[in-house]
Amino acid sequence: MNEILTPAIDWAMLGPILTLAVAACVLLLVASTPARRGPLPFILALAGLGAALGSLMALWERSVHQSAFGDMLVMDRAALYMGGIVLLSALLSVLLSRQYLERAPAPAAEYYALLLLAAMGMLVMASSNNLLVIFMGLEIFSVALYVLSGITRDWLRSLEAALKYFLLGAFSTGFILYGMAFIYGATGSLDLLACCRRARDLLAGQGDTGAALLLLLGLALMIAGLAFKVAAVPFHWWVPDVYEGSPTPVTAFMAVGTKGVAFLVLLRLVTTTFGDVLVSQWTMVLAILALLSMFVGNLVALVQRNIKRMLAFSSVAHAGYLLIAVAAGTDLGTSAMLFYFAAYMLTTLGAFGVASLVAETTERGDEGYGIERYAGLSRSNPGLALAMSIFMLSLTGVPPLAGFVGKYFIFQAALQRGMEGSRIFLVLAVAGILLSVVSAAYYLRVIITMYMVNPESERPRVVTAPDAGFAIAVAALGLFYLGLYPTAVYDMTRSLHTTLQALAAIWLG
Amino acid sequence: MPLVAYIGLSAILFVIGVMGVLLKRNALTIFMSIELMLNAVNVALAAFARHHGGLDGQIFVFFVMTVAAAEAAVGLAIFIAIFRLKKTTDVTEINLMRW
Repeated sequence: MNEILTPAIDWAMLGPILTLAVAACVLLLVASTPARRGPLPFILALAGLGAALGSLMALWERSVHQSAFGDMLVMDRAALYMGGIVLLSALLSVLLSRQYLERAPAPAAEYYALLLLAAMGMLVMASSNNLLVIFMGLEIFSVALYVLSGITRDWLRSLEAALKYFLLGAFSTGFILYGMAFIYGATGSLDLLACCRRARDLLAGQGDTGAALLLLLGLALMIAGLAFKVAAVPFHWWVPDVYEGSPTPVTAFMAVGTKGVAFLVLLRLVTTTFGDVLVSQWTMVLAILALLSMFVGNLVALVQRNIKRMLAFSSVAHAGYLLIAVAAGTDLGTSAMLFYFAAYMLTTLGAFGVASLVAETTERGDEGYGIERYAGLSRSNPGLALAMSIFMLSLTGVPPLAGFVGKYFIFQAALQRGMEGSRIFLVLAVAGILLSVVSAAYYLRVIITMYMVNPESERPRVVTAPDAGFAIAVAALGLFYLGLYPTAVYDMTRSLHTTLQALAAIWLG
Repeated sequence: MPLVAYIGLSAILFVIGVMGVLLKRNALTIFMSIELMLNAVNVALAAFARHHGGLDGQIFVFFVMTVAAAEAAVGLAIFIAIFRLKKTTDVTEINLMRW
């Protein structure tokens, strides 16, 4: 009898992913016991995320480049960095969720289980190095998020968000998949490494032109699908409705996590896999997407009266800023994008967190997201108003907050490319700076309402649970830290570009 | 049959699916159109796998089918929940949120 050989699997490398999966399964078991009503699900969710974060940090220390399953998963530092951002945002979102779940008609244990599963899918996608794994990660977190956005199923608004997210999300998945099929058809492999090698030969004129055309078509379809996930114009129509209707802590997590991993995959495709062979086509497409996103996002946000919709359009605009950095494709661009994302994570979580606290449950559902509701908040809840002001100022890009430093790095990367002769980057930088000034109008309106407008009736004090307050305080202080001492994180993101490049160098070696 | 024939079939199916999503108003019909798009992908993947003589394309098809089944479970649950409250699955009538 021949012995059956088991493949060598490095279990430690799967640590964060497995931890989340196990914690989610335990939560689903708890959901069937009476303990589901107590604090147990909340504690389990925090423990699961904390353990995952711990094993992620252990992996960070281990080595710069590590892969598993025949290079299908790559736990390089870029993946770990983005995974860390996803886990932190999940952690903050869980802290914000407990109070929300007390007033929302949603089952807590299932809610946390889905949140953990979504985070797990994001980790898989962030570290994927294979078209099939990208697809699996994408679907794991998308399906979990479809359910989460509609989990308050007695509220029609939430269900409507779930329906729209589901239909449009599945539609965009179709495009990504068709793109993958074409890339597979052109290169004969699902592995990004092999795709990369083959793509170089094809575009250098070796092989038939049909295959080269197929490759370009496939990449265009994949970019369109990813642009949908990062909420870039013209693929943004789902964003305002889904962000408005979903339970607010879910919106916060969705806005950060989905965007983060989709941007990382985009970065992998653009800067390493197909980078040097396709530079000119990429740059133009991504630059146009960036320009449109900044324009539409900022201008439409100006007329919004609902804070969640305003933040949704602002997230479209921020997708535009981030796309500038991706389009730049330089080491400055990559590190600017990754740094900006850390700042974006804190502001988004914080701002949606405050929105979720200020809102209330009425017989018609989850209400109180109108900006007028913020009138007089500075007197009833000075701390909350101060935190919200910090988030709004950081989104605008006011020093010394993290948003300013992030924007500075992004425009610096764009100007550097512009000085090298790409006119389009000068246009992008100027448009970005001007539109940031425009964006001040709608961000500052929230601050003015909080501090200068008198409420029509006496406004009751907003009750803030200690855990939610802690999450918001962490986000606000984090913005100061990143803004005043950006070097630690920025040096880290600089080294990440090197790891992405190192990966390409190993591949092409 | 040459590879082009299979890819042509897949492209036609995909376009029919996209048209269905864009033109139909019933959520269920839209979802069926999306499934058609996914099956167009499957045809293309299987044909390419055969063309390259590899297996990974065919394995991909199984993953797509599995995920489509999971998506269908979630999607139908959402449709039922909406129908319970609203008594319709016409997407043009599900419009609480507008700007």
